[in-house]
Amino acid sequence: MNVMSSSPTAVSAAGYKPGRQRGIALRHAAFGLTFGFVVTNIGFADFGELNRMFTLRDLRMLFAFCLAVAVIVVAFRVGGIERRPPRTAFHPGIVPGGVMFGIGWALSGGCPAIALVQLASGSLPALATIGGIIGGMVLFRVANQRWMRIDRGSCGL
Amino acid sequence: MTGYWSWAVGGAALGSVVVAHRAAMGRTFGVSGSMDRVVHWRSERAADRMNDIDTDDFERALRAATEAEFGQIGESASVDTEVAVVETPPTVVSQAFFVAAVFVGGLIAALVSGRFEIRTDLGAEFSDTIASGWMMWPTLVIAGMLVGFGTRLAGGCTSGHGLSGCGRLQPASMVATAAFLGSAIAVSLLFWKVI
Repeated sequence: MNVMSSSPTAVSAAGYKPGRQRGIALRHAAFGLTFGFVVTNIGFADFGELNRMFTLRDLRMLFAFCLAVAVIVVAFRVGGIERRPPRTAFHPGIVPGGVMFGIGWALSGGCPAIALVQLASGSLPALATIGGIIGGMVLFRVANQRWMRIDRGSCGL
Repeated sequence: MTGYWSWAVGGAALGSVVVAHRAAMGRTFGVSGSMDRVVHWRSERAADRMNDIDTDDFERALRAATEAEFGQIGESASVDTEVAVVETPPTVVSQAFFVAAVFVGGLIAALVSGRFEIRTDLGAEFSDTIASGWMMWPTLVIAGMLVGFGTRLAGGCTSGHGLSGCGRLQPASMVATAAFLGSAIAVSLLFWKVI
């Protein structure tokens, strides 16, 4: 059986051409730029604002977060961008990971993009948070490969 | 504190960014996954290079060798390889662009709004309720480690689970979001009221 084609294959056509990758990198940068701009203007880089949200004294940013989720739900379901998304699997790391992250977020304000915009707003202590985040990510990869071996089923989240 | 966007403007803008990202890039929006790959630059770059191999040359050589052995191969027998296409993962280089751009976007917002200020503290709320003086630095390093380890263990952060996951009504992401928002509120209230 012949499994070859003389025409360019779809696998390479879909893939890693340098020009195409440059375009993707620039589009990623555009989204990163917009995201950083928006979250900073909402006030997430301000530890005081975040702390007032977590202590339920000022729910403005929580409302903004909930509205963002609502916009996404409507756009995906009604707008038809992704009516039936692939299901994210439950895995043993969801709850303990979420709790660890929540404690760290409450103490540092970094979530983790917010640590970057804290630094961008001039807060030098964010350097310590970013150092910790890098250390935590390195530690997780080592720990997961050696002991935990949790398949989180995520490859881009 | 004044000068921040109202919740309606901010929420609409934040939701739109995630929707536009999904529509334009065909991928789920999430920051911690990108940061994780950038942190592990060397191994992720090597993985990208494995994908980077151009299969055309290999297939042409294989075809030539097959024809030399068995004679001419008919075009009609070629199979449609469209089915082999899988979602192209972004390279670690473009994810590095993304992470750097988040920083630049924050910098532009801070400069434009006049809030940019070099400071060595995180404000009164932090020093009054969390830690003050030199204790701030080890507290932030440990908190950062919890964020880095926790987001990877949970498989997402506020953007990945909170926005993209909850926005797609994923039960696992809703549980993760409840876990991190709940624990953040509990810890903040504990520090504010008790400690």
